Amino acid sequence: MAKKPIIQFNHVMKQFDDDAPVLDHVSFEIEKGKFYTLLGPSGCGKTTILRLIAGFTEATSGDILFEGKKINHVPANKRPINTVFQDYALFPHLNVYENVAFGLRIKKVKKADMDAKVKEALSFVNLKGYENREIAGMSGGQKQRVAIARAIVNEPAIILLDEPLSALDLKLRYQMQYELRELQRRLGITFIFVTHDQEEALAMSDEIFVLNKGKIQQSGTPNDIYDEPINRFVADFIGESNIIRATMIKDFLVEFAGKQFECVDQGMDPNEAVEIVIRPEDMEITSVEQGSILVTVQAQLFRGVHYEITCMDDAQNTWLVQSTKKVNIGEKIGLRFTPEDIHVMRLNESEEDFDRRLDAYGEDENNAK
Amino acid sequence: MEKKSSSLANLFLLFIFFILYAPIFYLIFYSFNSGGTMSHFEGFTFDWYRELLHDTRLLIIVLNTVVIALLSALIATITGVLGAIGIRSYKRRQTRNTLLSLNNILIVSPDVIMGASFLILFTMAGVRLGFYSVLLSHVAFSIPIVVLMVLPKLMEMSSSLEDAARDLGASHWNVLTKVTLPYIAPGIFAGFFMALTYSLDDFAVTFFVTGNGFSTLSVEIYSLARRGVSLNINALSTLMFVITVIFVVVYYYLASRSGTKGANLRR
Amino acid sequence: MQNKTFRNLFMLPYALWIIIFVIAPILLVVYFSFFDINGNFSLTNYKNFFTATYLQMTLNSFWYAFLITVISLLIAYPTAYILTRTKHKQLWLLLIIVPSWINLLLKAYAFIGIFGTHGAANRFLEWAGIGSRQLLFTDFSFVFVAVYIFIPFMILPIFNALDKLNPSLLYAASDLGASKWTTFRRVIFPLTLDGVKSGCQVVFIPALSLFMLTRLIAGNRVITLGTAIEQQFLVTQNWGMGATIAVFLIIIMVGFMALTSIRRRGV
Repeated sequence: MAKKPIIQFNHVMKQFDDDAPVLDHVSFEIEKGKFYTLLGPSGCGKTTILRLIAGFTEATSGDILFEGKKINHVPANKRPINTVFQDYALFPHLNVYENVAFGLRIKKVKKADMDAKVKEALSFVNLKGYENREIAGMSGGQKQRVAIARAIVNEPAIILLDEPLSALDLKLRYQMQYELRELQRRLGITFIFVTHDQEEALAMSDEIFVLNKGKIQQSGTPNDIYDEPINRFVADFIGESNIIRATMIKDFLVEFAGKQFECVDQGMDPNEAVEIVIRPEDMEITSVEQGSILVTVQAQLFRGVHYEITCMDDAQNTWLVQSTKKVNIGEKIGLRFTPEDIHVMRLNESEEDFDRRLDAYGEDENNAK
Repeated sequence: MEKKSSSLANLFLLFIFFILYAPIFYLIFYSFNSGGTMSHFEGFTFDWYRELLHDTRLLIIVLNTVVIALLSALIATITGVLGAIGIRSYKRRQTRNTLLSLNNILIVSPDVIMGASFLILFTMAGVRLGFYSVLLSHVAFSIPIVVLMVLPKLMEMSSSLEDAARDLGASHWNVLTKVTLPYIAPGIFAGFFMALTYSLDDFAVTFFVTGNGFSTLSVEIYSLARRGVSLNINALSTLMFVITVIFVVVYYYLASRSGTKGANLRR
Repeated sequence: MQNKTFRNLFMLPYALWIIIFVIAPILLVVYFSFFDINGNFSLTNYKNFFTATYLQMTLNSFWYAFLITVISLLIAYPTAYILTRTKHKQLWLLLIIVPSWINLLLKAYAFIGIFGTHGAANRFLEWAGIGSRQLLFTDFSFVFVAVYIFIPFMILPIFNALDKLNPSLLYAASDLGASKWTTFRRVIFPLTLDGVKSGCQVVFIPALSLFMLTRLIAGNRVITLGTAIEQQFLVTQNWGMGATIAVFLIIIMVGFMALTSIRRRGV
């Protein structure tokens, strides 16, 4: 890594009493100025990571470093890190101005500077002129903006966002996704965003950490994670996917649904049991003759932009297909996909091995060229 | 059909209100009786009020009562608020429940038991019965009330509010004074007010722990009433009724302004 | 770590209060119950308690407390029910509560006048053709005044329970074919049982231990456990016996609380 990481976790463990650990030897690095997302189902430990970075809770073991210095025991009020809370945590007894100015008042910033900073922060979140409003009279979206203004006004090195959009309705949520992304670009502050919504994560992040059961499953850019999920959990959690048990006959040849298919994956053992992923939108409905595989339509739902069709092949695998074409239930159809659409996953592969394998055939491709 | 039953219901309600208020207005009415009894109204007079205002002994007792009430409510509020914050900081449910049970013992125990046990306590500890024993007793039975009024407010406060304050650079002391206390202020206010009324209203506990030289209004009324009817008590109760009503109105005004429901004032 | 010292500092006065005014008094009462009037350690008090006089008194006290509780409940439930159906119900509720803020002694004193030989009650009886009779210093007047005093305390929890009731449950019940009476019996009452229970708690236990009313209104015709304790402590000066009765009162109280305990969600 060229840049020095701003936050670094070294084998961090967090455990309450004798329960199973919430975080199990988690290590990762976060670079300055990027938009990170911690993605995972509830209880996966993502919020715990956030609380550890913020300083609301202490790690059971392992080191947390900020700009190379260990900060395990630095209290929250001494860290240049601010949080936007899920429930906003705006102080109900203070108005908008006082909420935003809270941190500045503690730092005893001069009145004139404070006015200017609060004003600037509010204009950043499009709340100019809202200074004297009471919190109770504001909408969810406005509260959200005040919470963001309250964090950025302190000019922190990192802003932590704990599912900040989960309480908003769908439309507002989309709008805020754009605004947050834009805000991060303009400010250049590192954002660490926690969510269980994979769409949100894909849309906003430079880098995603997918978590499950206190462990990081996979990290990478949204594209990497979507196109090359490391295992069944990631494939299933991110987007819709058809995950089918398969056998890797040899490099570039995989067998499933009773047939052998060409693919682009390599580096597995001959005849290794694997799983393959094909995204529903990558398959095309064709006539029985033209299809890569033959299936029977079982159910169909109209989703607006497309039909979602559930089919079953002769080997009893269920396939989900998205298509703009309507089909009839009970009809036999063909599904066509290309070798690039098939992504092969080894069972229980670690992230390091996965990366190494991917790098290896990146080189092969280069050699071929 | 519907109408009939609702008018019957209104009649019942009216009757209940009559029963509840009749004795009070009965007292007030006869406070203006020049006849000197609570049965035959002879003529209108302010004599009893005049007598009341010249009764220095009684005025001192009123002063005692008020001083005890204000002081005990103040001390109980401070202790109770700190206690409530302490109770909340225990994350283990069992510890919390134990503390709450201990807290509630004095609320459910009958006045007589409290009075008797405090009498034993003060005698054993060598505290002379009088102002201090009464004050301490009132503080003692007010603390759990304050805790019960403050704790729901504290529990309702999302812990992320305190996290947010810490996150924005506040020290523990800052969090307490800038976030927690302002947030629970309506609860503190209600607790103080309740403590005040419990103290003003208390008879049984005071009766046990007060010495010869010291008396509060309730105890004084008791000893007067045991001697029979005397209309300056009526005059006194009229004044107290008026003050109570003013109190209630002010309390409700403040409570509705601070946005808390004031309905559950007692118990 | 820092957090804990902060908390301990908070808890110090509150913890002292628990030790001195909650735990110590109970232990002292139990301790004193083992000493006879001459200060010798003995079980005499307990032997005395199980003699006919005391058992009779306990039973009497129970009976009166039971009577007061039941009558209060019978009046309070319909009142609370009607109150929840009125417009401005919070205002009406407030009007029910206001009399409970008037000093207890004054209300008792009012009844001395009303129930007096020439008081309003007797004049009403004469007017109704029944003729005047001795009202004051009877067990009737004792029960009447006690009910009068406790009614607001009974109404309040029942009102709250009724008020919290989700109206769609009632629609659901009638939708499923329940008559008004069935709806009440099978839906409304069970769901407001907790309110009834806490109402009974705040009436029954104080009713067991009232001593001021028995002296002022019942003229010592009714002796409750409370009266007996006061008698032993302040008149006879037999603290041991007083403490023994107090121990039994505490046991009864705990038993009653357990019997009417409400499953509360943990705080």
